[in-house]
Amino acid sequence: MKQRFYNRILLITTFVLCSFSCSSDLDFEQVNDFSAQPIFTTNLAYFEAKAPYFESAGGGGQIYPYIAKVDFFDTSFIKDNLIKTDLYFRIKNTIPRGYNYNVTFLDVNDAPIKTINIAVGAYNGTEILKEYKETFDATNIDILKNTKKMVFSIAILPGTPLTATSPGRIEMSSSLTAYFDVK
Amino acid sequence: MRKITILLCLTISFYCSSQNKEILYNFTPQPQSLLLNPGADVKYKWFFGVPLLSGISANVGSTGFDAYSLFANDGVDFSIKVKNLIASTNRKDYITANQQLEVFTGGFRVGGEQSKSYVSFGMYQELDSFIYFPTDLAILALYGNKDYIGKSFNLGDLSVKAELLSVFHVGFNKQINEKLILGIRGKIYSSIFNATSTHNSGYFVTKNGANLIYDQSINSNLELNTSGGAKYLDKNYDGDLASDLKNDLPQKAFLGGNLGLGIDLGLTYYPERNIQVTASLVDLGYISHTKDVVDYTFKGKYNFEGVSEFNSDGTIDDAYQDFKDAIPLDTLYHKYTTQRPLKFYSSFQYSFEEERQTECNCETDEDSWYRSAVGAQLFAMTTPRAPMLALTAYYRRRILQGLQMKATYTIDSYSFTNVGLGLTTKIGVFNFYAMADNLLAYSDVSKANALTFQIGFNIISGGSRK
Repeated sequence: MKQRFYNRILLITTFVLCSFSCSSDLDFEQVNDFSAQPIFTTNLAYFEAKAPYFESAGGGGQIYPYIAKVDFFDTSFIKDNLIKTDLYFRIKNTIPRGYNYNVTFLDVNDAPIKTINIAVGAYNGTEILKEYKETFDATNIDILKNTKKMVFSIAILPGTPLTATSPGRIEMSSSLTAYFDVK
Repeated sequence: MRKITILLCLTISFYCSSQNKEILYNFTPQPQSLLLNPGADVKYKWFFGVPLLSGISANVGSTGFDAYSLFANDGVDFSIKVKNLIASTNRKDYITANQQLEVFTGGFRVGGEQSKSYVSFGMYQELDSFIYFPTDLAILALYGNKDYIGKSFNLGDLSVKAELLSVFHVGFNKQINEKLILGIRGKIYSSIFNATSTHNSGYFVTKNGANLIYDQSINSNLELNTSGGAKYLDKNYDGDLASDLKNDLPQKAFLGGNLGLGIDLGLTYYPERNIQVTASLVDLGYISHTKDVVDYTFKGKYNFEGVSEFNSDGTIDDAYQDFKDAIPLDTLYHKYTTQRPLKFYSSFQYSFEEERQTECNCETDEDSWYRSAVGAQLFAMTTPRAPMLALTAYYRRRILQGLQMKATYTIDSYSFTNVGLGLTTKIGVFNFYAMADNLLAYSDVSKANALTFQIGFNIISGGSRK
């Protein structure tokens, strides 16, 4: 008799627990809808040079092309998820000569597929500050994705030759901001 | 990237729990309570558990969020829910998982009819994991660094460990005198799989620079140790996972894995007949991982300056390669040691409603017992950072002969509204028990921060009424 009684209690308790336990409607398939849009920014290049460094350019000419590998644009993550990139350039000049700052994008065959030209004026008593932004979006982001190397060069414009005692410096800073859409 | 983000942010919702078994602790009609205190006041002539059914327990829970906040079918964009989750949690939030399955267990009284010495033994399988919410890494993965100029992302937020192991144990429990019972349990651990990444440090920071656009640097000291999974982690592995696991698991479970040793210690003390104090240390032990070990490290320092040298010598600058050289992702094969999570339990109990035996009952040697008791318990467990703590108040009552209950109220880092209930029944020699906590959350389990249940079947000869 007693056994039957407490078996009943146990059954009822279990039943009550089960009856009251329920769960809101959950949808684990939502994981497939996940997307993130992280934006990463980093330095792209930095050059600084004093005026005497350009002595060899004489009255004008091309100074050193500086080549950088950027084959990280070729990784599968970049190819799949990069949707936009801003390249930002900031140039300061206190040398009394104007010049063009050129950035050339080379593909796998070292063929140029994009060139950026930034004209910087000669120093005239006030530091020249030149800022430039190039945006690659859906229409031309493939240029970046196909870029294997970047060539940074300076073409000094004609003018009074620089000497070992010429004053001033140039500073070229740049950054890269990459926008991703990760699905 | 997506997999990493999902791993960092979401899997946590499945792997969560507390290891506190507050209902089973000191619930002495159950011989399984000896696994939480080898010095528990448990009485039996002999017992054995129904193989694979004597002890099944699982805990799920998490601090900071619940399954509903992520997976509710409410039309809200899932990505927004993930962002809300990251905004509402911090690096102190964690998710732990613990599941145990008794493969076999048994025990017997030693030293004759009048003896109060008991041996118990068994084997159980355990899954154990502890994951701190990697807040800074999740922010970095989800938002990037552009809007976090000046913030130092803490790489030490990554703190993860997971282990699948089997445990063989033998315990000895002896009543020293009327007031004191002592117990000890020796354990051999056989680790089937282990992954530990708990001693990480470092930072990634981007600040506005003076000359460079940014002063950006990373100082990384990340390490992941694994054992038992080398074959499966090999990128050239192309075997059949299901059949390989089927072959590997039993062999590793039965002392073929990485081995370790441990002990449990416990006592029960009665300063008065109706006042009881208990304390125990569980899993004071270690595992030495020497077989099937693979370690991954990501260590080094790097300043992100981009192309920064006039390489007029004609060499081609490769900042990306410089970065990979400075902080290489290395694969190593050196042994390591892990500590088992050490658990501490303690309780104070006051018993009342004394009952005396009116006729001879050969099933028990107790001449009196208390029908009811109230008490308090303290639980603490080591984690990779600060200890996990829980405080429990409880009420125990013998409802009928052979039917006992324990109701608990627990405050811990998961919840302030944790009410639990355990029932154990013994009909003849057949014993069944069921315990569940966080009962208030059963009205909608998806909103629960923690859930625990334990059930089991045993055959017990003799037994305690305390």
